[in-house]
Amino acid sequence: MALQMSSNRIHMFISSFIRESSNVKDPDSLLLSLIKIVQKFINCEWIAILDKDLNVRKSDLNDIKIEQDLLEMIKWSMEKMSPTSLVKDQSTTLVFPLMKTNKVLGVLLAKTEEEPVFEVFELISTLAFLSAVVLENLDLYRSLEKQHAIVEETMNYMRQIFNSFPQIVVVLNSQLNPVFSNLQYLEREKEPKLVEAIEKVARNVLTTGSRQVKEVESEGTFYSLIAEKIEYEGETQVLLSITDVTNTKELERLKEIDKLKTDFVASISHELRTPLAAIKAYSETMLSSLNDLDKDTLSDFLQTVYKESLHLESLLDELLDFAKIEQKAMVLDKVRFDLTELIKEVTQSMSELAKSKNVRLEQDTNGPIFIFADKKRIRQVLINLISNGVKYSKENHEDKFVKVSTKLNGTSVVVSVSDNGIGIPQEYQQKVFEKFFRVGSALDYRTEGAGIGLTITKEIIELHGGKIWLESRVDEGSVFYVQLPLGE
Amino acid sequence: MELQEILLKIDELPTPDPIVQRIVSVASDPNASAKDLAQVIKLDASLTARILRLVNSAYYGLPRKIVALNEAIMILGFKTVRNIALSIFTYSSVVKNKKSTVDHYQLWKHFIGTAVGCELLAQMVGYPNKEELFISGLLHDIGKVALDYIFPEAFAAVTKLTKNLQISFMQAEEKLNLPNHPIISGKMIEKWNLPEIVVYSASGHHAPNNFSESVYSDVVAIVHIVDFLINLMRYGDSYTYGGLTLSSFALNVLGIKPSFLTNLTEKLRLRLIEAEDFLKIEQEVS
Repeated sequence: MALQMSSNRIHMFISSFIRESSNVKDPDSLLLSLIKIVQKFINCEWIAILDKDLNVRKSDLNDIKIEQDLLEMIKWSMEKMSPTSLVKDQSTTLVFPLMKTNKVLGVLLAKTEEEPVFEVFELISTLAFLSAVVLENLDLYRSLEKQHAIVEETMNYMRQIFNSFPQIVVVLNSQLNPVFSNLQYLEREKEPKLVEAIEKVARNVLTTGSRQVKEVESEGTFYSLIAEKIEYEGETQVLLSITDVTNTKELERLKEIDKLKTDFVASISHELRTPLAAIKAYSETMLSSLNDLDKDTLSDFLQTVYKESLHLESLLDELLDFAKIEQKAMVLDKVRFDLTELIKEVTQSMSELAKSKNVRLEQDTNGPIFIFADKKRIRQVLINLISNGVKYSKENHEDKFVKVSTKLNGTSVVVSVSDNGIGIPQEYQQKVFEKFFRVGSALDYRTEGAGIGLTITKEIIELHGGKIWLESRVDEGSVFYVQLPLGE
Repeated sequence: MELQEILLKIDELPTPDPIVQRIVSVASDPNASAKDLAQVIKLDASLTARILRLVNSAYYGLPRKIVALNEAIMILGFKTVRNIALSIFTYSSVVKNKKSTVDHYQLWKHFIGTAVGCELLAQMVGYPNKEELFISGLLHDIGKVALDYIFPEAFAAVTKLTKNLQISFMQAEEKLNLPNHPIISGKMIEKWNLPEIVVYSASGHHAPNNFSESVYSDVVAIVHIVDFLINLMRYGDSYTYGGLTLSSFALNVLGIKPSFLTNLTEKLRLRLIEAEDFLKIEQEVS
């Protein structure tokens, strides 16, 4: 007999199906609730849902057998997108394609012995249709989730790669805020100098639109910044890759020192050879013509040999001092003495040299200044500074002078050695204290010396706990200031 | 001529014969079964034979031949069998008007073309109740047949006007101060006890914009679009020779783009070839 339904029951079925289907999170539970609801209003031998290739996807009975001729009709129903019912022997198989806008997602089969009325048929059609809509949305949702997971995984993958870079990688948006970065950036984003340099170079990229390169030093590390513009979602952004070049810098510095050392050896050899050559030449002359030389000439010759050997000795002393500095082996032998007296001694001893260069030596001191220091070393400092003043005087100047003054300043004294010589260009004023440095080329024949005098001087003063600095203008002259603690 | 006069005359028109009427009513009875419908149809042997011939036609493309009416109803469904019965009846009403000078075959071709197109478009846009759309398409211009019955002279005048001035049937009706055929179609369908959806989709097929607030806006849009396409394809003859416009509103209601129409037209051409048996209903059943 035909199964009949009241509209109340229909309404109830649809309502509970809508409630269930709006709660499901995966296709399987949707199909299950569709099967359950069909069971409620029709007595079925079995209900099954097949996918579009006619494989059973869900059913309320295991081992469902569908005869070949039925399969033909099921295919027809899916192709035509028309629900149908197939009668065979005593039972009817109801066939409802699950379709959505011209697309068949599967088919619902219900095998029953009842003869369904028009309404039941219509109702199942409607439910099948609703299910297809929900099913497609679920499938879309799942593929969206899957894609999302893939995107997420790709992101992680890329992030891992970026984090493994030794370089800092950061992308700034047009407001100069970081929108992407690797771990290396996050570790350094608090360094103000680096961040400032990043922003500056990024701003340049945004204004010029072209690639920018910059080097910056921040907290003891040297960085090389390369910035270029990239487009993302219609916005211009700046991609920066930042490399730590400290080691490269250090290597460059070592190479430079190595070159200076080579130059130093060449220069010092020359310096040593000059007095040696003089000693050798004069001794040879004296040996070969000992009988022909009168006493005055002989004395004169010996004087020169003596002077040159003194010069040689001082050069060797300098070298020895320098080697001590290099090995950090210089030891001070401190005594209490009068600095004013020492200055007087030194200027007197150097008056010969000064006279030979036409330089006036002046002393501007005021009473004795007692100081606890290594007298020999302080003398060395004074000699070095005065001889430098004399050495770098202007060749054709009329009135050349080197003046030594002292000024007490609480517990310390400032000795200044001023001259009106050639002066030191601004860019070299710090470098003069560096090892092997000489203004101009490393080999300057007009002046003599190893080029290590000021290095030794600085070392001695610093060992005393003092400091040295200078003021100088090219063509006007220089003033070297030495500040020394009076001590004890 | 006033609408009222025409409406009075409609009563004189042939109504579907009692058997078709009962088919319609059984097919819309929620508690009817396939057996109930089969019993009614079987009362008319000739109708049964014609139905079975169409059931086995290329249009339905069944993988095997169906010989029992009961099975046909089970497989194709109540509504489809009802549609076939109604097609057969409508065919007789169109063709059997001996007073008329109209080329009924071409007019029938327009009816079937629109019916097939409506069912296809309904399926393509995912409208579940596609069988009702077949009837909407089939009967959307039945008002023209009514006019031809009641006033063959008026119908002749309209067709003369549309041909000479290259205007639409509606425009000619307005010029001659005749009631619009979609309205008459609607009245007739109502009289035949067909569902409301068929009534409105037929009566609104030239004015989809008027249905913007209606629950029937989508079905009206379907009939409107297909009627336009079938005219454009020159499938059959609806005695409209110009002045038809495609409502963009109708496209918007269904959410389709004009490019979709190209796809629809191609599919429709194939469907129309499969539907050729519907054009030869009068052939005697062997």
